[in-house]
Amino acid sequence: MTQNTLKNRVLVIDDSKHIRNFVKLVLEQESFEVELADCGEKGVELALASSFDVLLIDLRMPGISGVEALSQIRSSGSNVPAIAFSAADAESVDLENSHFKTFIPKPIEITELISTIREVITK
Amino acid sequence: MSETVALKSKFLDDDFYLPLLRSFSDDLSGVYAKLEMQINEEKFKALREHCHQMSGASSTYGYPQLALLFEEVETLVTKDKHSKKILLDYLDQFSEMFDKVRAGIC
Repeated sequence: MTQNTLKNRVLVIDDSKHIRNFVKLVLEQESFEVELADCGEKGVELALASSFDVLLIDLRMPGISGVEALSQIRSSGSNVPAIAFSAADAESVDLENSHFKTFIPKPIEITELISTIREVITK
Repeated sequence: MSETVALKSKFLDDDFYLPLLRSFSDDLSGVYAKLEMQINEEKFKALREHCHQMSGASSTYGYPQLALLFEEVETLVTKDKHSKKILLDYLDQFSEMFDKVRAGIC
């Protein structure tokens, strides 16, 4: 078994290059394998083309939103757990109806990011 | 000539984050040019989205003051309380703030 097969795979979908690079650096340091998508459309494509342990999806992006992206992923039969992240208040995010497991607020706190991802993966 | 006061990220003392902070700082010239274009060409929807994106990035990178400035412009545009003059004044504030971020990295 290679080292790579032991790593949990995370797909990060966010239109901000800075956020994507930040999350990638932090998660790779924690031994996650990270793929990046810069928009919802590309995120849907990657999510359906490969296998991931969790999706981390920004809610507000140009083009299709994070909610729409996840809806398209679910419509294609994928049940991979997904976490929303956004600068919006947690109360304003309809987690249940949008199929997100949970929500991480921006600004991203590193310890919360890591613990939330681990929790979602192990559930 | 007055010396620019440095704005320091909360991550600045950790070498692990330094390449990210440098990249963020290096991109600020491009961010300024984009803000200037969006204001001058009155592309307010694009300006609002750009400010929203940069507000999230600035706060995540440990620059809450910069995040607040982006958030103010985003709110002004969202509430349709902006004028070109007000936004150009903000552009000056962005220029000063970006210089402070660069000074903090050097």
